[in-house]
Amino acid sequence: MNPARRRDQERDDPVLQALAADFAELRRAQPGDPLLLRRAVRAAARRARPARLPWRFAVAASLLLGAGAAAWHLSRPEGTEPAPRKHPPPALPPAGAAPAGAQGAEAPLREPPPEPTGRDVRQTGSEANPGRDEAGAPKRAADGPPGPTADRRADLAPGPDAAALFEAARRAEHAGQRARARALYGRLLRLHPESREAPVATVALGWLELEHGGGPRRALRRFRDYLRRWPRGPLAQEAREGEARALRRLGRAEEAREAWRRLAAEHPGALLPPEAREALRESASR
Amino acid sequence: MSVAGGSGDPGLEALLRAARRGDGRALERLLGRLAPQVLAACRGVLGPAHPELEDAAQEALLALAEALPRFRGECRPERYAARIAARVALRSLHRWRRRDPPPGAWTALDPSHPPQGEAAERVARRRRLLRELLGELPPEQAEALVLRVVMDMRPSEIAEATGAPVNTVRSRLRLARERLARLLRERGLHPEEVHQ
Repeated sequence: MNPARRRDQERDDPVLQALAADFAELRRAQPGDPLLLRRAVRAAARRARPARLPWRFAVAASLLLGAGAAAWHLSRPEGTEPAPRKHPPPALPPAGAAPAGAQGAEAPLREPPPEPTGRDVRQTGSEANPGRDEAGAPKRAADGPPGPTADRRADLAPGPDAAALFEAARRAEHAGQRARARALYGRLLRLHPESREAPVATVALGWLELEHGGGPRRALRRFRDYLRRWPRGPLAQEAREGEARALRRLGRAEEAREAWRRLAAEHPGALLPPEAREALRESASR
Repeated sequence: MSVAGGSGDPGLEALLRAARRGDGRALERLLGRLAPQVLAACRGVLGPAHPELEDAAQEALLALAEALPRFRGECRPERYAARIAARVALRSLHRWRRRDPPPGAWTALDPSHPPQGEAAERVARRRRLLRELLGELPPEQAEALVLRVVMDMRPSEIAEATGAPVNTVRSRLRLARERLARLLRERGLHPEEVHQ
């Protein structure tokens, strides 16, 4: 038994335990719940996501109330807009230009190789990046403090299952330990490519590589891998956005515009970032 | 490896990520997945027959949607949802109390119908008493008590969901329980009443 759970059971108050039993009936589903929940969820989602309203409403408000009202609607609370990126992407190169030096000396632009699966960690790490250690993390100090020793031991223990790797990667990502998170997601995908955690890990790793050090080429491979394997998956929109951004970062502007068009076509309700709207406008004007 | 606070559900995690990036359909699906927890918290705090139960559930879901960008995966999404719902429901309960409801109104929130015997009536009566007393507790104690008793969360789980140290949570629960016992005695009810 989990030690924390054992401590909880040993020190739990019998009065509170008895009261919790009193409320058990109310925690269970009731006959009218499905209808009530459907109404409540739809109403809340509508109020939280005025997806089609802001731009139209902003135009109408600006006509009626002036620029101040438009600025207010455009600065709505966090929950009604996509969460801002913690680290903005690097400055985009001019269309058609070679990638910036920050990505390292890269081969001429071409379709990335298919994602290797089940390959040895060391081999993959050394092929792509000689400066990476066994787990694929850079040898130099990574961002964020090292994780707890127990987590590291568990990560390196023989045969960690997909769920354990996924949880460790999530916690590292949420703690800002991005290099460690990349290594753990990567390991999960190498060891358990068919697991139920693999789809989320693929997209999560793609974004980490795009925004925190792996590079747009590797990120593009991840996003396309997701879209090839799970084209109707719940993260398809996110993967398409990642694909478009990675292509833009690689200087493949026309392909990036096509990726934005596909995203808009496949996900009509999507809130598109400004660069996507600009790309679609450019396409429309051609 | 068991990692406290993990969602253990990649599907839910996928919806959470997509919703945070502005996918409206993922948001609705995510709220649908977490809605039962939200409703359970609201129903427990307000009572199954409270006239504003659906409104409170909707407000809690909206609060959850707006809080998603701040959620850092420190606990399971279901528990995060329960915590937000508990706070919204407690606010609703306080607003309702301020309207000075008549004595019979508390009974109407959680009636035993059809009458199911003495034991079932005692259970409903204890639930009603707890609701009356929630409004007299400090907010942190009321929140901890709701998560412990209404949502049956362990102190360690409450600590993860609220961000408070687990010993602080235990202390709040102990203080809430002591105050509960004092108030029960003032009403002429021994704390042992709860065990019967």
